[in-house]
Amino acid sequence: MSIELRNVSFSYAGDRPVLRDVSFSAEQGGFLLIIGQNGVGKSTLLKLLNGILKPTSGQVLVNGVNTATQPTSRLAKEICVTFQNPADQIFASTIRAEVEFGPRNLRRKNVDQLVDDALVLCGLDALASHHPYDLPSAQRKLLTVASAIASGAPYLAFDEPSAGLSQIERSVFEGLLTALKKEDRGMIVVSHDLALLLPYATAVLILARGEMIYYGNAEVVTQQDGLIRKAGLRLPLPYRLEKLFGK
Amino acid sequence: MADRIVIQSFSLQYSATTPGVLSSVSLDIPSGTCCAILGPTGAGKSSLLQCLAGTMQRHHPESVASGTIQIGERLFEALPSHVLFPSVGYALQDPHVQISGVRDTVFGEILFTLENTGEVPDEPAAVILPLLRKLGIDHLADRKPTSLSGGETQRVALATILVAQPPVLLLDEPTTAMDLAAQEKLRGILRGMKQSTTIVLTDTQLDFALGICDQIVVLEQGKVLFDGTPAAFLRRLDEFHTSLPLENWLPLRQQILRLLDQPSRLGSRLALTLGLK
Repeated sequence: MSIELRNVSFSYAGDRPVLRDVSFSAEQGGFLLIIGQNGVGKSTLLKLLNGILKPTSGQVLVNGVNTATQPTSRLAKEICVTFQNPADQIFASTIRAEVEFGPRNLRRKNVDQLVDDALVLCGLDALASHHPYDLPSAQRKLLTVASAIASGAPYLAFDEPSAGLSQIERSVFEGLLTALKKEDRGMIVVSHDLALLLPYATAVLILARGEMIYYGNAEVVTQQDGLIRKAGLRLPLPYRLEKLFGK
Repeated sequence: MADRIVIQSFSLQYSATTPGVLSSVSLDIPSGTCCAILGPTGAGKSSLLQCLAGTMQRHHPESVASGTIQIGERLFEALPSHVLFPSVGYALQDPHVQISGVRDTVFGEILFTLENTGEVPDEPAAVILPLLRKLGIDHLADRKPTSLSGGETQRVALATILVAQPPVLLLDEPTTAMDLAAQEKLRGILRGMKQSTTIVLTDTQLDFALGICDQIVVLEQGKVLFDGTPAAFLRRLDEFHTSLPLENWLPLRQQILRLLDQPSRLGSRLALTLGLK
């Protein structure tokens, strides 16, 4: 059981390639953190995972099934992807209806339980009857995460899930990551927020100029400055200070 | 010329029957400095910026405010009744909303701001392209503004405000989608603008503010919990761990204080990195 990319390249119609020859595999219980500069193709990569986009060449295999041959609706049973901008996906008129949409359409058996659990995990249970657009933007992010969790999919892929979260929602988010780990879900997360997410990562993939320049264990990221610089990135300020003090 | 901002005993409710959003806020932001307003979701950060931008009544027509806001020579009893652009530039929290999409290219989108201010230079490219270069997005000049990635969109949205060179610049969580290298670029730009611009930015965390801001304000539930220099904030860091994500900062606190208090080459380097000089 895994999500596997084999030599995947992708270009939007008539444009130069966004991704070139990307290969990795993500397992259940694992946490793959994908990092790279703005515009490098991270969000595009996530959209390839559940078949919203199909590779120009190479293969994306979800539990061994090639996404090119499957409708997104079938792949959604296995992997749920959230978008970077919550406004791109939120459509229902209550928070509960929004979270319920996935599991109901996927014909999960215990819809109410899945929805209740996801709402509690994301700290939204008391707000279930509210309109999603009554939520501050940070909580709208958590709503998209709640929808993904409630889908019951064994693999979850989040696009910048912690962007704009304040301390209140960050604590909630850390709690749900720990819970998802216990449930043995497979996590694939695109983020710039190394300070929050690196401690959870079991593997890191670094993209630069559309290519994978690193795929391996997470510790390397803070230890090898060259790698981060090669990707055109910087380490968070506290990490850099730690190094300064270490000298 | 940059404007000084003085807010006195300012309180705000979205309507007469709803709870207070801002409660007796008083702040003095000197001309040509940068003030970071930090705090958790719901603290009132964006609302405060909307009041300063003159857009609060657009969002909440029934809002009730008291106190005064002074921006440069202009004194407002309670809320400004009109949008203060272009003398106050306001970059919205959601960059997708900022981009009008009325033009087909990023260059055109930014030019549109200049057209709105009525001050289009003879050679707009000589103003726009260097700004795009400084933001690291010159390669996007001919792209469709609605086809960009999240971080690219955020930088283009900022460019549409920065290009007007407003004497007061309000930035609502300006770096949420930006990679850290892009954040460094923006820091550099803001440092360069400070002489001629008073900058007020909001954030939910500390990292971006350090190195550019001269003043840190911690806002929680509409009240000012702290108002002081970055150095004073770092000394009291442990008081704010429930308001801000400081878990990576707290272990460094003792070392930071020691270096600040004992002159050394490392201490000076640190002070420079954190913008404490």
